[in-house]
Amino acid sequence: MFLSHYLKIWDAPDHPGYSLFFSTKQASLALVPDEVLTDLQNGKDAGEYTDELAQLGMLVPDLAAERLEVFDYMNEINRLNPGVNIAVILGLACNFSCVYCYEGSMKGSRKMSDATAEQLVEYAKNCMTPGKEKLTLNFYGGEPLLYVDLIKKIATRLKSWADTDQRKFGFSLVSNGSLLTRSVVQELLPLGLNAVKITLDGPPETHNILRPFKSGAPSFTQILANIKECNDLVTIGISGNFTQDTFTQFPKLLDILITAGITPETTGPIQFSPASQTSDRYTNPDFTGGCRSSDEPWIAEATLFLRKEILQKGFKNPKIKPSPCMVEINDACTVNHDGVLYKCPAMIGDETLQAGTIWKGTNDYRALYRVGRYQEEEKCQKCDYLPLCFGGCRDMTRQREGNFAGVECMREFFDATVEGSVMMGI
Amino acid sequence: MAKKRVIVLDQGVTRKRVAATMACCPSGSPRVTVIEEE
Repeated sequence: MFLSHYLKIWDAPDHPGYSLFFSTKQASLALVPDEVLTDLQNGKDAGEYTDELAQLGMLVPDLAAERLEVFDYMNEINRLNPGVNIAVILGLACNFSCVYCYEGSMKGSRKMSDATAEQLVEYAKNCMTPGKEKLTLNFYGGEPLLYVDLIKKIATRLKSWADTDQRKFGFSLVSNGSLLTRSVVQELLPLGLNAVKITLDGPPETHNILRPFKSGAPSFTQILANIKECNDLVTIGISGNFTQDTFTQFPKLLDILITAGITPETTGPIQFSPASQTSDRYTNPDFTGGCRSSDEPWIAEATLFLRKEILQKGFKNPKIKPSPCMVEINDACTVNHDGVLYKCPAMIGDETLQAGTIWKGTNDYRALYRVGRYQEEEKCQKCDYLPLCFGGCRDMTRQREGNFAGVECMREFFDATVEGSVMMGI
Repeated sequence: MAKKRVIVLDQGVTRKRVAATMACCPSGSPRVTVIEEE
């Protein structure tokens, strides 16, 4: 047996005589006695621990076969995937005017028509081929809660179908939180609502600048009140987009949440991410300070700083693990308000990236989206972080370079953050 | 002195679990966010 190629080995300062093993392909973690590590590095076996370390993905019988297995990872995920996930852009109206919004000047009054909503229901049902167990819709906008009637219409039809057909159906909302009331949640729960993700960009002094109402009025207080009013009914995850100038102020947001009674016990996962510095034709030219590339040093600094703060205050923060991009998932797509399919919500409005329609089904988008592009990249072939990344975010490359011909290499980012992030979770 | 043993801190995630976890990106963010966390 050999040490896996996708294994990080670190010192374990709190456990003298041990090393910390972290598998990037399985996100498993173990303390391993130094003498076992020495034996393995000298070509000996791990004795009685061989099976255990193999089950954790840390020892493998054949390194070449392991690389082939990781390159086949997405195919296996697609074979195993029990669900169908559809992101739905109900319309492009929004009552906020977030300075960095990737939809930018695309936003407006366009919305999904009743006929398109009817066809979306049929399309979603048709995606649930034999063997598929669960259908999940993620309602986006604009602001999805400006389209509650549309949500109810779509969800009612799909819930009824799922109950009759003995399938599972659920949906989540990616909302700005300003319109989330107890009565709306109570109406949507029986139709399948299972989670809401709401964005708070730090404490009021940063959030209200980055995410004001369209009128320019501050939105923080309203959102906080709504979360408090609803978080006993539905899981509310809190996200936040930071810039180089704002991330240090986010811990104050966590204190405000706790003071308001929005505690780790009552809240879903919290995850803060850098605001993307977009540069396409829809971009707000007044926004600066966003993230153009994963390897900007401040991204790593902010990531570690914020994870530490989130965990220290007792909130949940997703651990590092393989998280496939929806572009690579066969049974995931985005439906725009006009019924055009894309493989990622960030791609809507780019006519060159249309992946079909809900009337005709998907095109062969694999070449268009460069599905599996990491397989052609020499640096990906050697990279021990590949299972955490699989070529990175296409939209980031597209915004920076105008296309995603190359991969978005996250090696520098992972070198700077993985060890620290994993240690914090212990 | 007790013999040192391998101490498993996290079994990790199965591929079936990864396959069942919807991931997509929030507005303004380049990074994948898990919507349905285990």
